[in-house]
Amino acid sequence: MSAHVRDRLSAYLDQELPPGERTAVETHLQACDACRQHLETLAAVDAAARALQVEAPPGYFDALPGRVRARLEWPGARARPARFHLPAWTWAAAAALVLGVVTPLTMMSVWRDRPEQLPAPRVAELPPPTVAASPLAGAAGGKLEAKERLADDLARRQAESAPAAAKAQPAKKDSIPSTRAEQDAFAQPPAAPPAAAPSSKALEARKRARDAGGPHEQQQVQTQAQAAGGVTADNRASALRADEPAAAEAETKVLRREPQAAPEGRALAKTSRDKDGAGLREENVVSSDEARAESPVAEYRRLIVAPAQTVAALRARREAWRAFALSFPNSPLADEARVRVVETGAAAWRLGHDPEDLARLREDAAVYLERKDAAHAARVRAALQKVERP
Amino acid sequence: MRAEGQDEAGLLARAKGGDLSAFEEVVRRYQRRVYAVALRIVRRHDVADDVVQDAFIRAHQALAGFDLARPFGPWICRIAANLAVNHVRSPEAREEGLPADHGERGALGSDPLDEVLEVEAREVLERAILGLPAEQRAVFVLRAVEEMSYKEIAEALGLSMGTVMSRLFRARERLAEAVLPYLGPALRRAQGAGR
Repeated sequence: MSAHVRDRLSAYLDQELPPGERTAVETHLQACDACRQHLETLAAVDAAARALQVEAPPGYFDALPGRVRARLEWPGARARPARFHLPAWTWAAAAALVLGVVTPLTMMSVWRDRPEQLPAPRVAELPPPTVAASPLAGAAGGKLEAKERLADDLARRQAESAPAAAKAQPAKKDSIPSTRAEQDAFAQPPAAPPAAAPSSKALEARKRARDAGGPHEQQQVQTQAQAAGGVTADNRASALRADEPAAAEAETKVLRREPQAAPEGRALAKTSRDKDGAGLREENVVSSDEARAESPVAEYRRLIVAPAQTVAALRARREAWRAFALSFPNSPLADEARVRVVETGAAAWRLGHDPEDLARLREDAAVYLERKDAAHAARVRAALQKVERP
Repeated sequence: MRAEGQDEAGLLARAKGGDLSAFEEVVRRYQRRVYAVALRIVRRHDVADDVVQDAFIRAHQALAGFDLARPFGPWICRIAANLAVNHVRSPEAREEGLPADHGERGALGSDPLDEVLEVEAREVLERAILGLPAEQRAVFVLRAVEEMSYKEIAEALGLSMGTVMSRLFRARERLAEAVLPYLGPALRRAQGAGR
């Protein structure tokens, strides 16, 4: 019997062998049970692979033709993948640059401009932050979970101290973003049920803002809402870029500057845990003019280009979709963004099994399903169902 | 005129002339096949969704040069496969970041294969396919599922015929090794049904 022909059986199965080789293989197969059985196995694998079902989430194929058409009708719907093709280290380097150079310079400027005496709220009795805030370490590690815990902690501290700080310190013009009114208007969710609910912490902070009454208090507590996880246009720019944890971390740190906390030469890391109770009395917003100027389609395309494959990245993506929906509530793409808030949240839960992700998912799904214009309720129900009954 | 019920060449001719409704119907007809190709290569629903959309957008942009005498299906599948492979080759894909069953792939509960193939064997095969190196997986999907010729695969993925052949050989060897313990009469019946 001739030598086995196993290495040619794949091509033989596909009828891609030259005639001479094909004849040789057939001759061998007539005499070799082992090769014949292996050929049958290869054919069985192909057949079984063809028979495997590939199913998309319910409703997906109902919507896809319209979504493709929408992109064709919107000339701006071209992807800009270059930004996402940057190697990961470039994001870390950018974050380090922001934190190491830009932020200290800004801090020094803010420090010089501050009044001589800023009555600091007394927060010594508050529990210490649950996470030691080291911006550089955070940027290097891209620990979004740590960032979120820190944000929660800082929000809680600020919630306690904001009224006192507001009474003692009138709003300082320089420290308020010049486009604040525009941002506030931009941040308003649609009049109908909101596209995606802010977290309970954010809602609580906003309620306190209403109770406080004054515009400065409202502004301050709005920043608490952001720190607690609610997305407004103020942090939209960072949310839209939040695919890379390191970049998100860097922007978040910049957003949470504490103007009264750090004397010159003092590390920014200390400011966020300053026991003198600095808190987040004022937040200068570093917004992205580029992001603001872009069309919803361009931002949508930017969001859908790159995959998110870690829990932190999925959470960041979820919040980016939420920001998109809030920022462009009347865009034809807003509904898709709302659905993706839920689907991305479901993916984050499946990957990390963090109860907070599950709670957020249920909340987001409930809000979406209450909308009268929910065009893809089936997808949201399916995402929820897969989580509730995996 | 409604797009539904029209023959493919007529639809494509209208789409070529700028009729978006006709192209929407083309998308409707081919979306499942294109999605299947994309999902089997990229493994995640959200990425497959992007690939499918981009594939149709590119096809629409290239319609002016498309020969209407040629079948549209293989062409759009090649575009999708190319995009999908480009994605999995990209640094940010980082395929190892997800378990094989993490993707939003939808339930397989109504799988007709259940009648002839043990569930375990099906799952093993599925995991084995998803566990293939991306470029082997792409070649295997295009050949075994889409039944493209080696020449078509080589053109779609920018490979030589020899590379297609060797990758396909390696992919099949790995899959056969994975499912061999589960190969029983049921799988062999599936083989008969699949042909």
